[in-house]
Amino acid sequence: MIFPVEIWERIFLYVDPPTLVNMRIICKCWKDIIDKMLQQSAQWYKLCKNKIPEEFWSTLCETLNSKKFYTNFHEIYDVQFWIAMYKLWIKCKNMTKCDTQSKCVKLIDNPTEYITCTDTSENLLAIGTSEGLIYLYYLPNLQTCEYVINHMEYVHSIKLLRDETNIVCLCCSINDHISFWDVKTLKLLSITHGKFIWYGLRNTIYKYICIHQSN
Amino acid sequence: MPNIKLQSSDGEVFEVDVDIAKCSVTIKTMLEDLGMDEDEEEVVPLPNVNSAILRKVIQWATYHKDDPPPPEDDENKDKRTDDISSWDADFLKVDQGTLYELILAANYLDIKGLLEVTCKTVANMIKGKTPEEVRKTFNIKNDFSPSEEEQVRKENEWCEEK
Repeated sequence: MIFPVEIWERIFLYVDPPTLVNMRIICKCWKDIIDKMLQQSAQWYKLCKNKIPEEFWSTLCETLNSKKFYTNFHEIYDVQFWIAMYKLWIKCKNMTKCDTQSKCVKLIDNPTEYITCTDTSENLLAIGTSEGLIYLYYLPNLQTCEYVINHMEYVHSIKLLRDETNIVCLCCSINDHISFWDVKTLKLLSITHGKFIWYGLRNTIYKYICIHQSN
Repeated sequence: MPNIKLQSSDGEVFEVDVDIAKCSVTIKTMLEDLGMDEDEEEVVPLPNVNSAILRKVIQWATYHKDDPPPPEDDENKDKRTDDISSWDADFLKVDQGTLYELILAANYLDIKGLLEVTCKTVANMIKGKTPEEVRKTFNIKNDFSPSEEEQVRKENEWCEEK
């Protein structure tokens, strides 16, 4: 069935844009017709309206462009905006399709101790507590705690850093003590003082920046 | 009810109620423009429609003669394809060649309702299929070179729902 262009256009009006995108590969003629149709923002706006629950719109927009604030979405006629919205939504949706499980376990027995911060790296979970302890678990096993490190002070924040051989647990106390622990040996590697502001991997070596106030 | 005569491309003449014939905007305009008198024994020639298709079109128009006029095109209105009535669905259980000719006839005769429902039927033949299946369905030849095809495939990647 080879229709004249205007008939294909009519037919394609009833086909949703994502399907049309996939059909660009049919032949050159379809690609030209579809590309022209997909330049109309109304198509994408409608798609976004149908597919994305409205409570997510603001968040998606902020993610796309944190500097702009939109109120009247229906007044946006920029086709690229709506395509970007839809792309981001698909990305988010694909992300939430991974296997997730939630379970409730009692990690700490001490009634006065509570969790203050957590971090994960691969299957390792580190939990810092108000009593200055750091609990390490290997997921998904949350029944038995593998290691406990005593940091002595209320743990404010915690990070796990990893290279090919070592895992370092970096924790910050409420008194601005920063300590570095080797997770495998549970040895204290170093200790410093300050507020932790950045860490990252550079040239395969973890670097960090912390600042402290001098009196 | 006055009747008019419609002549198909292969010469067959159909006598149709004027009101039914006028669901075709083309025929309606023709009658108005030419000032054809309804009682005259004149025959309206339809050189683009053969008798088999014209018979189908008249059958459709007769069934739908009391339908309210189709709403104006609204860009923002949802274009649904799952709202084909069961009568229309049965009516359109035809081979692809007939469906193809019906669409061309509906387009030529400017019968909005019939064009709409036939286009929806074709849209449903596209949905849920892989491009290869669609090519087969419509007998379309892939005219991309392998490198062009790869390029389009890359551009399309983002749209795939995993």
